[in-house]
Amino acid sequence: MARNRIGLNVDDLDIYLQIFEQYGKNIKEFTEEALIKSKDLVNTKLEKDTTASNYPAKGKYESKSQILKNSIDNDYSVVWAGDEAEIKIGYDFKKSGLVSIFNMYGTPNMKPAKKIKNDIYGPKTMKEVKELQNELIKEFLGLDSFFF
Amino acid sequence: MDEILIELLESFGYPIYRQGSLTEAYPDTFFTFWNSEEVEHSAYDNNTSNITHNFDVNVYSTDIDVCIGLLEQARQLLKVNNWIIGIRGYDIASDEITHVGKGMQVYFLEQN
Repeated sequence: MARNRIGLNVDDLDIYLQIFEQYGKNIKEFTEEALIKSKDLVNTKLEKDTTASNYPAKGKYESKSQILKNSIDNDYSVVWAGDEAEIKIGYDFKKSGLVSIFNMYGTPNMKPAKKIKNDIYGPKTMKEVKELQNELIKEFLGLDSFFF
Repeated sequence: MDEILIELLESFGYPIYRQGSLTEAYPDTFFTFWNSEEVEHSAYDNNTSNITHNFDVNVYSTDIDVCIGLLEQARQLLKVNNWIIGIRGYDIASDEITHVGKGMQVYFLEQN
């Protein structure tokens, strides 16, 4: 899976898949719902943290046009490849251009913007997404939270 | 872990800088790196067992062929030294119009 994508990452998925089948629940419907909510989680962080104070040099060299903030990816299409689904996260390069690359990876003269990079790729975000998806699957199937 | 990475990259004979620390004119070809994160994965008996060290490794050059070739050589050297290649390559931005840049994301799993 490409780095700027989120897929389904649920513990014990193989067991849940059997429950989906037994209960006649729609795994595709759940997957899309989970990925959309996962993207919401990431976008909420980006909306909050895409501010000059989190840019290199506190945004001293940033334009006032808020290019980066306005390029947060808001396309919630879920893309399927066979049985696997993914959704894009991060910034829309067509809108951000090089600004997102400058901030995500830095340059020899400029450090990467750690906070906003971590909002997309950091272990804390990935953990929160996984926890969210684990809760969502139990809710979707109507399972007690202590089932597993 | 920074020192181990630097030592490996130094073997190519080009300057190495931490990303964002270059304050002089760009050399013709050089490496930069950035330690994105160090993540503890498991613990036993109150001690951390596994740590993942996550780095960006970048090559900048006035010559695109050198840039691509050097990144590939660095990739192979790191693999031979037990580094894991997470993302093998992507374009990165340069401050100077004279240089192109390519980067990769690498990991090292430290087991205690």
